Amino acid sequence: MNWAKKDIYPFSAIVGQKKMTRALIFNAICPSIGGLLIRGEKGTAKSTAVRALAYVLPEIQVVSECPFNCDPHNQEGLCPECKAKVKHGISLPTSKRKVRVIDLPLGATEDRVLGSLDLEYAIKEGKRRFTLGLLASANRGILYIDEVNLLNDHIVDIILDAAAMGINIVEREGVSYMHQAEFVLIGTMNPEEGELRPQLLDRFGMCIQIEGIEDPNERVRLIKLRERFDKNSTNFIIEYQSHQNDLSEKIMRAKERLPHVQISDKMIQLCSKLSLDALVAGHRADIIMRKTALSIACYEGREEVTEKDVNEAADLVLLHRIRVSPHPHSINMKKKKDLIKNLPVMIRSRKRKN
Amino acid sequence: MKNENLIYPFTAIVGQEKMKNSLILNAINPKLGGVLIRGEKGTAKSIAVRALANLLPEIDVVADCKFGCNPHKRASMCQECTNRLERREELPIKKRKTRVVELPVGSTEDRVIGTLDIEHAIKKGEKRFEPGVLAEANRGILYVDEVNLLDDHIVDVLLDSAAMGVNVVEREGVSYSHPAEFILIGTMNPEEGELRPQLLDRFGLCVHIEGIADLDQRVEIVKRRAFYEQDPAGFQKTWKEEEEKIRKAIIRARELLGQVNISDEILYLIAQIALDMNVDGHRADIMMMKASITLASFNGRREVLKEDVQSAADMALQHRMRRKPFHKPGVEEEKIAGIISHAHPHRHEYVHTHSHSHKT
Repeated sequence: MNWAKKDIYPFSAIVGQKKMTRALIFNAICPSIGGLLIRGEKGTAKSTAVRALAYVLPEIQVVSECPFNCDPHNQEGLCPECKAKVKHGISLPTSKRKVRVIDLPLGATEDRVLGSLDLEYAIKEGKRRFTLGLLASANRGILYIDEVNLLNDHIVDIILDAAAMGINIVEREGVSYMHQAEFVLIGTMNPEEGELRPQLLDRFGMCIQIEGIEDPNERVRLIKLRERFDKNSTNFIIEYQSHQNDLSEKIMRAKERLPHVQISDKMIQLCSKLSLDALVAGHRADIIMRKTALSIACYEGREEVTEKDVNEAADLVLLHRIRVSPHPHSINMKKKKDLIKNLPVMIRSRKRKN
Repeated sequence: MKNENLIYPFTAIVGQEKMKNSLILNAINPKLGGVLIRGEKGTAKSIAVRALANLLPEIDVVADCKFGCNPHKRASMCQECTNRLERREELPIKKRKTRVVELPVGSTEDRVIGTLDIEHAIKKGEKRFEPGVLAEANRGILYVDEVNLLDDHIVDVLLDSAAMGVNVVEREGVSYSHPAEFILIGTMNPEEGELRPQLLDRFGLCVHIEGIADLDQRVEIVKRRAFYEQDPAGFQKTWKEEEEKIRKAIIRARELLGQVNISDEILYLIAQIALDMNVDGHRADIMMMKASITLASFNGRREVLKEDVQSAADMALQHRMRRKPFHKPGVEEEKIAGIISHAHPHRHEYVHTHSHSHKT
């Protein structure tokens, strides 16, 4: 990837926006949270943060040179090629590498997203072969869509389909192919440019709304850092290297601890209660809230989930799922006041109809 | 295409100081992120942009690179040039003028971002990437006339690469990415409709221009234009000295740019302006800072003064104000001047005395 080579502003040097950086980190710790949608006004480091995230992500074990980044310890989820190797008794070469962030540009066409017939091979050899698309490269990684609300509708449909099943099924141009496509979907958008389709909205595990910083001291710190980065990016990155390493290690440790963290029944009940209060549809909110709370506890180095963790998790998980009751007095309005204040416009307009 | 050498000289443009300044600032510091020129028809917008290219110093490029890579900066090279360096090949270097690449309003997506080279695919049966306008604009100026009339999805693509400085292509079986660092210059006539906020924000600076009301100046414009049309070469000769002067000033300012200091006092002033003017996000602060530094260097100073901030704020905030209904985009210049004159010289810790109403 070309831009990965470019000097990218370090993640640990981002001023403020704690909510966003933490939400990104929680997704890195526990990919099954299912991604993050960052809504915010322009110029609030949304894209900067996601691009910078790639540098502090933990390492994963992969089958070397497997285009799908297969997990050597997961026999079930291997791609056909790796499966065939195992069947023939060839041991899989493994290596460790950082989780990848795959960029989905707005101008992408369907064939490059899904993968398609390898035309060059077909013309030269007269045989059918499948070339992999972005969904294949994104397997076990992060799929990043900048300005996700501006993405073409039919590309959105494809991504929804694959994200829901964790599998990409291709039936086009005479090729029939199927492969694993489990990825963390991260999107950024400026709500001024239009809302996201509800179905896609729900696919994001978390959703946050961010704004510029109000504190002038922080603002000045931000300008100064930016100025230093622009003057000499290489030095700036070296200077922040130790911070970056610390953060990377902290995420790594949290990831290792994740299976051992406890959550009490009381806390699980609290998750469900918060979801009920917010009148969410279905059960995705409860499930993701629990996972998020676990990751928060890990990241903070705790053995057990506390009420504070659940509350923070609720803040990240409920924003885009909250629905407003036709009987406003039946829910604890006061408690949800700030959540409702930040409601996506789309949902708010539904309230008016009611 | 007109003969490049017979372009109307930049310095011969009468009036329109704001526009000329904003363009020169971008020539000095390409990191300013371009300028949006808003104004009525026939106000020398396009002429100024084309003339600007003539003023820019020549750049070193890899001679046979499609993207005009910088041979001295490895980090921003395209894939081919990097590969060649890895094979320890010598990269041929040549000097060339900074290009102004025009993006016509009717362009299609494949020509803008590049696409599969169909001719090559049919003849050789191989996939090859055919670069588009964004490749051509790398390290140059991308000029979009009537930018508000551009197709929505072209705007999206443009936003994407302008933000990253990289063009990522994933289409028609081609997967490719290449550097696309360009100064984005757009012109628009607001009567034809506004620009989308996200695109507005991508322009570092914005100036609003109008036709000149002064009778003498109007006559002067007509006279100069007549002279130019009659004898372009002769006209250029008359202005050669002026052009050379400003070219030298730009080079001097570029050298000075790295040495300009900006005090904490000025930085707090910038943050305060951004807060009081109630702008979105932080790009406004960063742009005000960069524009003030560049202005100081253009004026031959090593220190940023309040007056630099005043002019910088005017250009950086013009298009970043949260728009109220029935309000045209624009800056209340008096308000900025008020903030600057009221700034206490030694107050570094800011005390919240204003209450800001924020949209919910």
